[in-house]
Amino acid sequence: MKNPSAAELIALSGLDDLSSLAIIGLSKNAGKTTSLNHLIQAWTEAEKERPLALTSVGRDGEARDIVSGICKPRIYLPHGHLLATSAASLSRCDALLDIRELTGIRSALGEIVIGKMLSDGYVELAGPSQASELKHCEALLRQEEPDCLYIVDGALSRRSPAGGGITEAVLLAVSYGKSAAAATLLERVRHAVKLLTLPGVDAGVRELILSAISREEGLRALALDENTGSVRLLTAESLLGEAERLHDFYRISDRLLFLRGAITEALLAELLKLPDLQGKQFVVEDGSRLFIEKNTVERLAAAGVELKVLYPLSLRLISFNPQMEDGSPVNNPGIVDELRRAVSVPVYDLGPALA
Amino acid sequence: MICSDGEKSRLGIDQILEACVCRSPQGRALKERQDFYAVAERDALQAEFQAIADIRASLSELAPEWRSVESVLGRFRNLAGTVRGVENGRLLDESELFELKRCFSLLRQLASFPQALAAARVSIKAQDEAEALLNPPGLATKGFHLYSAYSEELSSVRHRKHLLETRILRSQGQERQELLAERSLLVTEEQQEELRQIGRLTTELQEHMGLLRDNLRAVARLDFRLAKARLAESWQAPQPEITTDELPVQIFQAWHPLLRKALEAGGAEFTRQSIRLEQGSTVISGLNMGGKSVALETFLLCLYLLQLGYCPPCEKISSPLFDFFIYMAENPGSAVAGLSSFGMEAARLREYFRLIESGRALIVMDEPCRGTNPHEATAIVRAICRIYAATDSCLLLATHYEVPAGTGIYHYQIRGLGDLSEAKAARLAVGSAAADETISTACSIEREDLEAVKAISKLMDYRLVKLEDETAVPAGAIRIAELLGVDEELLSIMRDAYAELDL
Repeated sequence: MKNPSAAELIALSGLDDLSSLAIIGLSKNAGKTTSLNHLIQAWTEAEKERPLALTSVGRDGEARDIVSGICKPRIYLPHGHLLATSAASLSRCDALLDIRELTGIRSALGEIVIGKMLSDGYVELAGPSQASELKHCEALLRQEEPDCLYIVDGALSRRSPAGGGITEAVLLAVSYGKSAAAATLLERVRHAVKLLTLPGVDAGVRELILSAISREEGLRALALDENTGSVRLLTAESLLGEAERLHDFYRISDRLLFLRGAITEALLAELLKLPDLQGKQFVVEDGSRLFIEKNTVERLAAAGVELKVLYPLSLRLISFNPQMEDGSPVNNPGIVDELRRAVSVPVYDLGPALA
Repeated sequence: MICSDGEKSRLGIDQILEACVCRSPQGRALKERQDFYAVAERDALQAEFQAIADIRASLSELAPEWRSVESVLGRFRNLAGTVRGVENGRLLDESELFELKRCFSLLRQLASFPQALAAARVSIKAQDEAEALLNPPGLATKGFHLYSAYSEELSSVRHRKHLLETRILRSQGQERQELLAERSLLVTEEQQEELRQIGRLTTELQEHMGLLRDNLRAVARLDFRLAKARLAESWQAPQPEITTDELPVQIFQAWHPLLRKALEAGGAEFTRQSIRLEQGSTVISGLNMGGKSVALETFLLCLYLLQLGYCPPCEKISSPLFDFFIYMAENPGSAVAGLSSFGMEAARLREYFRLIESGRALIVMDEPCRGTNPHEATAIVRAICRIYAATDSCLLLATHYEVPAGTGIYHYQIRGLGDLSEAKAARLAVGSAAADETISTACSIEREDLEAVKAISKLMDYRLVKLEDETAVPAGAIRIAELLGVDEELLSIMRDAYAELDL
């Protein structure tokens, strides 16, 4: 199977038409950084004039995995591009970087800084962790280069908050993870694609929810009454641990429940106990906020609940890394074809990590 | 301000001053300090008010300039750690050097608004030489990095590195690996030279830190004065007149921002208050719900804000300066904790009597001794008034207890309800609960009661009247009880008991 050329990769992922892209990994060491390096190389080979503007959720590009100690691919970025990274990571970049702005966003590795590459070199990305901060970084990057392609590299296997609402499109990096069984891989990928490509809620409801969020920052749930059209809001630090409040909040006459933040198995298990769910809609921010298994999705469907999203994601490409999570290779020549048959999104093995 | 945390919170100074918005961390830090102008700092306080007045006078004429100044102020960052680092010879990192460069640029921008600076009476000097250290030679750039022009070694290693990188881009496989390895040696060489340059920069920047500190102090004063000027404009506050010690405090048409906002939100109007406070004791009396506490808090707020350097919310104010302020409004102690409330109050009174020996105070007391028997309380309150009447401090005290007029003791009274017509009284009166509702209503505040209290409040005349002669403490509590629907039988017993006291 031939790896796509630079032009093919850009065309497959539709980068020319995008203003922003998130790279999400299905598991740890799924190949996000390798995918990013391939995108960067393709962009360079195609001699694109638009600069790239990179950041990450958490830390990426470091030499060794902080948990496992495994050598990780580093990010090699040519001159002319932008990045948003922590001050500590800046000192570990071996390229010449012009500091353009300080963001005021503090992370565990120091303040996030906007820099421009004045030479080629290895960079370490350690960006912000909240959606609002990622948006702020994008705004500052666009002050430098309004037409840049903003790329957010998610860290580890966390799929939130990167994606939906932050970027227009997503590239999903997958590997065998912990199991070399093809069937397991196929099921995981099908499930991930299903969640990431959930349909958007209709435009009127979308506006209503967005308006409520802009008025009430602490909003964590919103209910829309079927009969009266009235809207109720629930505010909290987070939805975690708020199942009982959600029970009291819900009414049988609600036609829609919007849930903001990470949606876990435990939370949905509680919500499935609510009465009269037939025909209801559960709306989440985007598919990357759903941390739920396949059987939970099936239980929701069986209960008559429709899952929708506020920010539909455009899943452009699945980048497949034929390795386990620990880096050991798996020899299965036909796996990419099987993946292509399983999902309707282009699937490619982009090739090994670039040195 | 000498008071408890609860009293400070009740006064709401921090909340009120949220309306004074500083744009820079330097301005905010200065504001947070709440510097109190002591008596010896009279000239400095007058200069502060003059600067605020000059800014106010220029706000319209120099509106675009002030907007630009505020925009620049909003871009300052807290540089305390960086400045200390340079002074101590610590090697800065590149983001700190960027911060300094940005700061010098902002100072240069502020220095280009001479009229605004003159109005604010601050001086900010551009630090061109320091800024030039952080620019490429002969150029001014927005960003910062360690420029190749800093040294020949740096320029050379970067050039060699660039040549290698060009080859790396075109290479693959083994050749690429070898080129990358060669590059990593150059990276090390580059980093060592960069470190030397950072050391040089830090040393050269040290001589500029003294002026930078002065400039940042000026930024703080500029920001804070501008914020106070804008607040004074929004309050339509006067320029305070600071008088000599023997003259009285005179406050005209004062109002309390928080209480006024709360009243107006409920559709009511805040009654502005005026007062003249001589040295000695001023007693405010008035019936319940009469607004005595509000009056006390309003006057205290105005005088305290004045000595913090703010133009207070009133129409006019003239006052000498006080060495300290004392506010006592809570009933200290706790029955649960087993502390006697009067015991704690007595301890505070003891301390305050001692304090006035060391300076001139404004003491505000809201119904002292309310927790002890009325007979002794009256005696104690009278004694407090007589004691402070003989000092050069000002006591402002609200009480229900009767305090006779005397030398150094002055009286004000809240006008109150006055005579209500039968028709008005009937409209206000609340009906009694039905027998079967009594238990459920006994411990609850019914909506009807709340409305009645609000209605009574609307009929109150909260204005303060100066009394020239001794006047009996106004009665009105039984009338209010009547209006709130206490049974006639009980009211009759109350009236009889009250009449017995008069005999």
